[in-house]
Amino acid sequence: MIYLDNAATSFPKPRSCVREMRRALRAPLGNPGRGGHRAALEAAQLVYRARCMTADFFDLADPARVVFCQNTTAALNTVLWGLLGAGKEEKSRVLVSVLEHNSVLRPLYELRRRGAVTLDFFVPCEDEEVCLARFCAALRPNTRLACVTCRSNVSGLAPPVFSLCRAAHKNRTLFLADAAQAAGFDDISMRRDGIDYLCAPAHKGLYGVTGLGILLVSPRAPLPKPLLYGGAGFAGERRQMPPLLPERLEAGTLPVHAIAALCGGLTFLRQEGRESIVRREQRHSARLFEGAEDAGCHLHSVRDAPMVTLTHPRFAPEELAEKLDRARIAARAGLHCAPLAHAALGTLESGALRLSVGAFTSRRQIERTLKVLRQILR
Amino acid sequence: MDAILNVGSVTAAQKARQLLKKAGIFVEITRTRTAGCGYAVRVREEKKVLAAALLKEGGVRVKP
Repeated sequence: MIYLDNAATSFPKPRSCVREMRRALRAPLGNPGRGGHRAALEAAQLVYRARCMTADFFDLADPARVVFCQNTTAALNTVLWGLLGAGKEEKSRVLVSVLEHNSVLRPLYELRRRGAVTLDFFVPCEDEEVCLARFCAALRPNTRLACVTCRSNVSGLAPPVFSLCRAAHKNRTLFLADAAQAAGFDDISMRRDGIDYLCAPAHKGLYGVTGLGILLVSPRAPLPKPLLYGGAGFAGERRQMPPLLPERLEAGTLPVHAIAALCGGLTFLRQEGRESIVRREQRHSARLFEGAEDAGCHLHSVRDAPMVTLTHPRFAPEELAEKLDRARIAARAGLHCAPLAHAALGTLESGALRLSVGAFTSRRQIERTLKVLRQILR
Repeated sequence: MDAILNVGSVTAAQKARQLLKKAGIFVEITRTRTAGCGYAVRVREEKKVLAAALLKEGGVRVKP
């Protein structure tokens, strides 16, 4: 199979990921933070190693500020509900990019329905200065939080996070970055970029497995209230969740085996080098872009992204995806859970077909895909 | 004779071990001996004051 749906989840997984997960399954690992015996402490050590590697990867000094969640949606909901859902008398104002995924939009719509927030939107674009100007124009003196994706899952557009963060902080606005597509692809530094909250999945560009999301909280950012309440492994006599990270936001047992896989994924990125993987992916997507354009497709993605998003005047995206699947090529069609991004691109009615490459995509697979695409469109 | 420094969570205990290891102080993670569950680091008695100071400096709160 030619797998071109890496934006949904990466496949195949690197050997280091499989090795770490297999080792974790075979080793006597207990429940981390839930006992003093050797097996529980071994598991805790593994989890701490993953926190350190993740903190290092995203340039965050304190590994205790790496919070593990069920997925990116849970990480985003933790920040949104934990900051904005506390039932303050005054509504919080939130600035949102139109590129956001439903994992950001839906919690915000629900918060708005409950009267907790007012939403403002801005439209990011490729020109950094124009994008910044639009962002600043949409900021209000009382904007409490800005939610911006680091890279759109539809068009692959990457807003200038560093500049937007600086503008947000000048306005005393907190910055929430959704790195669902960018983590592992873009160079993200919590410290340099000034991001307050970063949410990312383990199973996409970080080459781990599903069932694990990551929330990174900057040292200057206020702690969100927990989304879930339950066991934290210590201070069991207290009625409240403990005040310190990461346990404050990690009620219940952690997915140790998925966390082991994350260690393997991060090891892969370190050994291969993120930049070299990115260069390879960009070469492949540039070739796909060019080939699809020559075949008469309308392209809706930016050129430096690891994805190509397209429509065709004669074929519906779902039809194209089905025909590709018959040729054993996995690609995703639809709205990709980002309706405002499609509205901005003019593809809300039709949706679009997305071909997303990964670290293991080969030149041969790209050429084969283009050949099949040309045959379909003939 | 060893001293026990209560640090709360297992993450705090791991962080404490990492900080103290950098300073050449080797510790063992253990459970607290007081009521309620939690974690502590076991350190040699003569290193207790230094270890507590290093942990405070490194942002790990030592509980009485």
